[in-house]
Amino acid sequence: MNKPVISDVSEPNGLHQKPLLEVRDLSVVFDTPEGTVEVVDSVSLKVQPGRTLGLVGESGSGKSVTCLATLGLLAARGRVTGGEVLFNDRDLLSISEAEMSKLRGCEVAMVFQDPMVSLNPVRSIGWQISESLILHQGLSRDAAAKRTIGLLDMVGIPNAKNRSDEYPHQFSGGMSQRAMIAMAIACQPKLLIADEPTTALDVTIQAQILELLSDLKKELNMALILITHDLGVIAEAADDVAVMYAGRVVEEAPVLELFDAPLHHYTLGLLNSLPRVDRKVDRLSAIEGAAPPPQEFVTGCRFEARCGSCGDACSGIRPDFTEVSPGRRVACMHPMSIS
Amino acid sequence: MSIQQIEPSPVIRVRRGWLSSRLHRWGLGGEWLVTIAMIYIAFILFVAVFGFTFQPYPHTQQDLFNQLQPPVFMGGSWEHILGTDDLGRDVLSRLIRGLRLSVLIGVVGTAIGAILGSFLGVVAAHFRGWVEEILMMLVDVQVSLPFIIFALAVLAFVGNSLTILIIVVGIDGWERYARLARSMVLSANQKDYVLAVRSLGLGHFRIYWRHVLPNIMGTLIVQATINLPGVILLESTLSFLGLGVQPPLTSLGQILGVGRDYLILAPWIAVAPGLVIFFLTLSIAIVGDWLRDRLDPTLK
Repeated sequence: MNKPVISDVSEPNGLHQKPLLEVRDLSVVFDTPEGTVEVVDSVSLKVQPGRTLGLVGESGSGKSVTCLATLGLLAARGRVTGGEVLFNDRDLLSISEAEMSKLRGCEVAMVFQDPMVSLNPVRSIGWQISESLILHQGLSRDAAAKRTIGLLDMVGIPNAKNRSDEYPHQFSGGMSQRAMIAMAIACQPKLLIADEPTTALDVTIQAQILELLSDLKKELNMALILITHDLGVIAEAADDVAVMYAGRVVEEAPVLELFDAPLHHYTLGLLNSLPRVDRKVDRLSAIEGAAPPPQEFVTGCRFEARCGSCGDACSGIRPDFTEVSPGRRVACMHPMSIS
Repeated sequence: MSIQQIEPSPVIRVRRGWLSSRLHRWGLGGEWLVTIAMIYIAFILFVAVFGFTFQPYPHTQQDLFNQLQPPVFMGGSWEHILGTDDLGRDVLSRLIRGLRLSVLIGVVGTAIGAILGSFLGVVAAHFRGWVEEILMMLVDVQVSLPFIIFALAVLAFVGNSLTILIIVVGIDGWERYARLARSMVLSANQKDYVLAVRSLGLGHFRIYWRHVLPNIMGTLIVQATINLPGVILLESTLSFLGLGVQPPLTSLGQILGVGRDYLILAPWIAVAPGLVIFFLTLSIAIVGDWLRDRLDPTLK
């Protein structure tokens, strides 16, 4: 396949382009009855136009919250306390709710984890897709219906004309996810955020959906943020990777470099815990301990408790990012050496 | 592909007559009680709407030579099929006319309560905070207040007109819709599809109106069918007590109230509207129950 080619060729260009979406020092807190917890702590991300950023991390590491905050979709108890989100030079955190509504679905769209519950059960698939077309593009009902059939066709739903009148319960998981993707790309957004788009699907469907996403990305020339906890998905679909741990980004790298030579000990642990088919291993290695819950986040390195090679300096102060090479940085006091 | 392959596998087919197959298609197979209740409701609605075309006499026309005539099956004449009251007014004509007003008040009153209550419930669920606190406090006040006393007080102080009566009986039950709508909107707002349409840039009003409301509509309609008999009974009660519909207008409750004075002498005056109210509320309750079972996915 041409995946390595894409990475190699577009890398130098991609890095010098102006980012489509730039998240700078974004912090999000949740107000809970027990007090305020900071779930996202000064996260910075860059998404280049036409490229895929893989956001990887364990459950509760703040991947989804970061993206929801970016789109202003946080639940009522969540608050953004700092940072800025620049999308095409506009700060999304300071624009009004009305402007944000116009932007959502139009320039930035999102695909969610479980397609079976992300579609309104009482409306037909076609109705739901055409709604966004009518709203954002001012199409007539007929024109929108026609365009909907085209979209369903585009995401690979067979017999799109008949199926657009069907209801979500008549669709399988994979088909529902395709419909969700059709809905998200209806207005040709510049950025698509896919929040664990394949987690609820079985493995054969996963590959199809990932392939569909990367095809659509090329076809519509959009950028993609792929949130996942599955490094296999990252390897298959991402161009750049940001690894998140306990509310912070700990490492950023182009995908091949990350898999070749991880710099952060957490990334290494993640990679080591992947099952290998090219080697015979008796047991999968696991990272000792568990990720801390947001209430127990510390200022110093949050991976210290589970890290084998930490020193005295690790606790107490927050590890700064070291820029190793363009597009590659790591937040660790004792990073792995680049071999 | 050969023809045999695409022939449908043998299905056990139950032979049914025309009526039975129709009933099955409408989901009424074996539900004879519900079918009868529906027919009765349809009949009542028909009489309420078109009754004036075959009403034998004007409902206020007095026939003082024929006071307290018994109905035809109790030895009366065919001139007054259901007999006459103390002023010689034809009971059947009054029944038809009273039905019209009772159904009107019942339906409009229920609609007022449903719309008001659901709206306030959605508002409470959307704004949360102090708006919700105040609205839910009002709900608690409404629940703890004996409604009939409240209605009597309003009608006695504000005065009596048909509009006020409809509004008063409409207010009855709003708190049930408010609670129902609030809790259902709260749970719907947690659903991923609401987040998904928000991520597509839909505004709050659009999301509530076009996505959330259709999802909770079924439950609200069932609540309305449960509430409707209560509203009809409330109107009857108020009219019976003399604070509801005032002559020359007439409603079932009012006829019942007049008939009370002659219960020993001429029971038909009170029994006829009483039976109509009884079977109407029973039928609506039966149909509402059936609707609830059909719309509840957990009972399938």
